Amino acid sequence: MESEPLNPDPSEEARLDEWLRHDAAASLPDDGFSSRVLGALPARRSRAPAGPMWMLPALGVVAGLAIVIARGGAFTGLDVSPISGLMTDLGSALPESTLGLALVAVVAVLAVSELVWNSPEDSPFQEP
Amino acid sequence: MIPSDPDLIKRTVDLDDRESYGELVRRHQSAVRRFLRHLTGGDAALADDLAQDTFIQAYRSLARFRGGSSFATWLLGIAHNHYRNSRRSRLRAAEEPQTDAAEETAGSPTRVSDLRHDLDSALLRLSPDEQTAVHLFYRQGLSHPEMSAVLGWPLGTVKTHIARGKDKLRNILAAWNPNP
Repeated sequence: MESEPLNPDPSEEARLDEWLRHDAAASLPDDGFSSRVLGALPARRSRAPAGPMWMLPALGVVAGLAIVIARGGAFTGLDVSPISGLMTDLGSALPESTLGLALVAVVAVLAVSELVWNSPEDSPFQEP
Repeated sequence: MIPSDPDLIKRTVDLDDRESYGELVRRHQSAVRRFLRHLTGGDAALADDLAQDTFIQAYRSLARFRGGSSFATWLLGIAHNHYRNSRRSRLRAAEEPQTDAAEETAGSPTRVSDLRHDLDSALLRLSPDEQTAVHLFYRQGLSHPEMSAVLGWPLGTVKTHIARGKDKLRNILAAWNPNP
């Protein structure tokens, strides 16, 4: 075991501290290091993920309009009877199967758009 | 006005602003590269490779940085992990006995001409953990809790390594320079 002074000389202590901190402030020049790091970063994130964000409120607005029209303008004081009549005529003119197919098509489009917009390829936090 | 680290981190995460991340890299590259040069025993090329990996890993994980420590401390922790993983894989690949800068034998002090050189040689006589503790405390200016976070050591261990390293340095220097 090495012998250690029990009470080191304070001036020696200060000098040793000063030596140890001698080049603490010295910084390494960048020398293009930062550029190399930026060049090696993963691909940029796509700006498109906003897609499904607007889709949900838009669907809400459409549903709200549908309710207002179906109730003949209730809560709004608007006269929507021409539109209501048109919808009723359209509903009776089209067979139920067509309406069902239209509903399936809308759901399919939403599902595909969700897949496309949320593709993980462009995520900056994705492992290469 | 110079943006703070948290501002730059927020811009990088929210807007994927590469300029902001570039500024973070420029601010902290020196500390990370110096730390890794210390760990690799002065191998600048290897240290810079590891530093680049450190910043890329930090970029990928930036959204998970909660600001519990400073960004610099967080980066040094990633750098330390990268160094340990890299050393482990190099040792496994080469099947060589562990080599570390700290385990190298210091040169003969009789050829040492000044105190600065004495100190550098004396530092090589410390254990790897003592060297790292002394480096982070004195040359990087980290506090004990920050060192504890970077190295994953308990606070008491950090203090012990610093104190023991400093005692050894004092004794080595006193032996080499009995009449300073």
